[in-house]
Amino acid sequence: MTRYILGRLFWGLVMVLGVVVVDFLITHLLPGDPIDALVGNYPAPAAYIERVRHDFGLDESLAAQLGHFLVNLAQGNLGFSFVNRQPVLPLILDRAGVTLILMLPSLILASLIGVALAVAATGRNGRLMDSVLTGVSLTGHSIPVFWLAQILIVVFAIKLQWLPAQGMRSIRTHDPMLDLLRHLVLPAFCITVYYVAVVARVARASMLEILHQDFVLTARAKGISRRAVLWRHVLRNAAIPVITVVGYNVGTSLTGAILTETVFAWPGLGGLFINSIANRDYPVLSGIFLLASIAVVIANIITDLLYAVADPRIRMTPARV
Amino acid sequence: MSTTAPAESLLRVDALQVTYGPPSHLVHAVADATLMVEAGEAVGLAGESGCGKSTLARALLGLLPERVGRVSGGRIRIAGKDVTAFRDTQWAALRGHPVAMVFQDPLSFLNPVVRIGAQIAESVRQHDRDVALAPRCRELLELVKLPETVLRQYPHELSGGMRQRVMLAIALGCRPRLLVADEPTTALDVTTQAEIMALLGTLRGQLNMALLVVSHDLGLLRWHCDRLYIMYAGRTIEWGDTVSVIDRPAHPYTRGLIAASRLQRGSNGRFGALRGEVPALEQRLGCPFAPRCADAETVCRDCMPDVTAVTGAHHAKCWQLGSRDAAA
Amino acid sequence: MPIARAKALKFPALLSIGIIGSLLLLTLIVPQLLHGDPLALTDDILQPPSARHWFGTDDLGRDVLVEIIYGTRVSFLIGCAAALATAVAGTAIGSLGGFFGGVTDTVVTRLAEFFQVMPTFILAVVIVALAGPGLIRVVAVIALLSWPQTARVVRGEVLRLSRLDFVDALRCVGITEWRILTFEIIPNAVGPVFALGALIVGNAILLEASLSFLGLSDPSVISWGRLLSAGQRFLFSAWWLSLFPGLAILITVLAFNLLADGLRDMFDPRHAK
Repeated sequence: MTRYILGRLFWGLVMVLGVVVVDFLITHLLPGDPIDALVGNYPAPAAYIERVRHDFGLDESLAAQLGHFLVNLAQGNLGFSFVNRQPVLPLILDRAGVTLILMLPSLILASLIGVALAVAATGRNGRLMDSVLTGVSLTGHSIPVFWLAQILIVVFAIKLQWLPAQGMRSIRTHDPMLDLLRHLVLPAFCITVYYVAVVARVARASMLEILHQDFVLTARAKGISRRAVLWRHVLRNAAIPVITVVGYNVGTSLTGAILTETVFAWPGLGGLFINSIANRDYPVLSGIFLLASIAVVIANIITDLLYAVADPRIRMTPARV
Repeated sequence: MSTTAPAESLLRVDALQVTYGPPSHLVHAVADATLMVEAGEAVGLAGESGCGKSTLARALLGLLPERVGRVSGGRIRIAGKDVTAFRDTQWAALRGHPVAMVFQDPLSFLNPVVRIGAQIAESVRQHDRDVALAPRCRELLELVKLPETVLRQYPHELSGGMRQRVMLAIALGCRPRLLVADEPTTALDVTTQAEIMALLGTLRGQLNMALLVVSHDLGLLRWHCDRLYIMYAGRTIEWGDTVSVIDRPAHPYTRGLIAASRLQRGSNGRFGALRGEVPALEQRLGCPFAPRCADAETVCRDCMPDVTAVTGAHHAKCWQLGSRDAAA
Repeated sequence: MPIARAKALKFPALLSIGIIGSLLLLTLIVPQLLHGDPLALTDDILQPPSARHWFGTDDLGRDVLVEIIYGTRVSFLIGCAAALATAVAGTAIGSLGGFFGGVTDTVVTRLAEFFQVMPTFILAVVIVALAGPGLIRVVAVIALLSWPQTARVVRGEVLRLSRLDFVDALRCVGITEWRILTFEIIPNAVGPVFALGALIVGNAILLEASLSFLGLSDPSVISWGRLLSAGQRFLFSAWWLSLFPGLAILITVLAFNLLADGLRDMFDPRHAK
């Protein structure tokens, strides 16, 4: 078990290092001069441009820049956002919290709904629920999340006027908590749809597989009810692939969150990300990529640990297939 | 239908048929099976792989593959109750008690992510709600001669023989009156086989429990069973006291099986082998063994033979038997 | 169960081929039928759907239906090019890992895992934002981000095949490793790649739409994502600008996903229900 954990931690570290290098390379090798963004479109004198270039260390060799980059990174310094006139790290962390408010409930809800759908598909009306599940899963995989967001706004905010269209808080409200929830419903639904599709499909497939395994027969031969077999034996085993897929898709759901936030003007990472693209704010872009990757790596390590808790066999062997 | 006898058999199977697959591709896994087990006795069910013996065993607990296999004829009576048409919920009340089952491969038949203790406890709690769990589990482990430490272990941490003992403990936790053991030792090495079979025999006496052992290994069944049933192509074709069946096999298939299972050597000093293969499980006229039988005549290929008494409780289904009687 | 399984495409997959085919036909035929410049600016600004403009008009007075049909080109082009690039890259990398094993295999598997875990869309956005839009660049980025799935599947298949006896038989008669890999194993291993290919076309179309929705595409080329981006600006006044292009994406991607399901069942009967 210790060996397994150490192995996963080590691999996580390697991944983070890989991400750092990828991040550095794309921001420094690809065309597009950050100076343009710094100085803007003004016809600035060459001497001024050179000074700015020097101030931000952009005139050094690539290796030297990588060195600075790593040293700064180790100190938690992700650079300075020229556009926002703020250090990058606190800026991103601030927004990331707001994104989490949106993502966490969505992921939990989606996992529950996905598993519930899969369980329902094993029940008496299995055939019907199976079709529902397949339909939901296929649609969830095919729907452009930002379009779904637009349609939800048109229907529920503009036409029906049940829910607020954009933002996270109303200016004046009696009950801030309820207000937040009302703002949360539509964007959370968007993120949930894709995740339900992913979870339901995997949960269904693994439950089908588990249901046909021999030990289910042993459990039934004990005389316990169908429901008890499902809850005590099938779900526990089916949880393993479900945990994996939930954990490994955190990165994808982050993408969904960013796109969703754009449409709903949710003040999280999404908006910051889009503004940074428009303003060529490279430090923020690379910072978001870096932090998102680290978050994903951490999510993966947590997944691997949960995996070990759920499956005692994995504790014996450090390698995962 | 037979009237309720004063002392009902623990298990009675009459002319049972089990079919697999959709109507367009119907396969008769069990075509005509007859079986009887009395309280406390040990019965063996033998046959080559694919003859339907495992299907028959599963049908006894209502554990046929859902939506695929179903009982399509005949009847099953357990402790005097006709259970043939039972629904799954009704079957659940019978599973474990009075009829429990142990399976062939003890690794795949144990839940890999649940501790042994919990798997045993589950069967105990299902059948004795009021019993103190921990002492009962210890008692069961003692019965199957396992150390208490296995309670906290997982199936993959045990050896094959230990896992089969765990399977036994789970089955015994239900307090069965009949234990069906489907190829209980096939996955084990020879010494462990002997231990498990000896254990089964001891437990049977200790707990006054009947035993139905399903196996392809006549040599194994011979030493552990009071009576034997021989199955071929979905039909029970010969049954009787073990001694009688082994010493005076009436059906040519049984003779072949005995020769093949090294209970006796052929005249040339070599072990015998059955010619040909088990036919595909489809229904057709005539004795299913006719294509492989050295003595087959026209009647064998056209009509299914009836049950003929060999001696007292020893029966077989073979035309040769009838003609021999007629000739005598 | 010895029941023979019909190894043919089922109804949903056939339907999806029909949908994809008709969309292709529309893209090829409709522009020929329209007179003048169908995308010329008119005074019919932001008209709701009517008999004249079935899907309404946009803020420059262009017919949304015509725009969608033109957008199909970009989506299909990028989708197919990306799927092709992904299939080639994934098959090459995956088969190397599966066949040669050892360090090569470790590197391939770890690299695939690395790329699968990274928040690839953010990476794609950063790359395109820095490098600038452009068909080839977008295709390359999509391929860069989607090869691991193909590589993993191909690796598994190659690994399985290369352990079969016929490979040893070929070695015995002196056929070189490379020849065995390229002429004997890869042709047998690519079946599942077709199914994945259809899946990747769908994913690529979604990814392209997401990028252009964020404004990361050539502004002079009409694409579905760009239409939705315009729709976002007029969300509160012109719902038709959002609804129809999005439906087009949904239907197309759904068709490719259904096709992928059908192809997978065809190549791998274990998945068939």
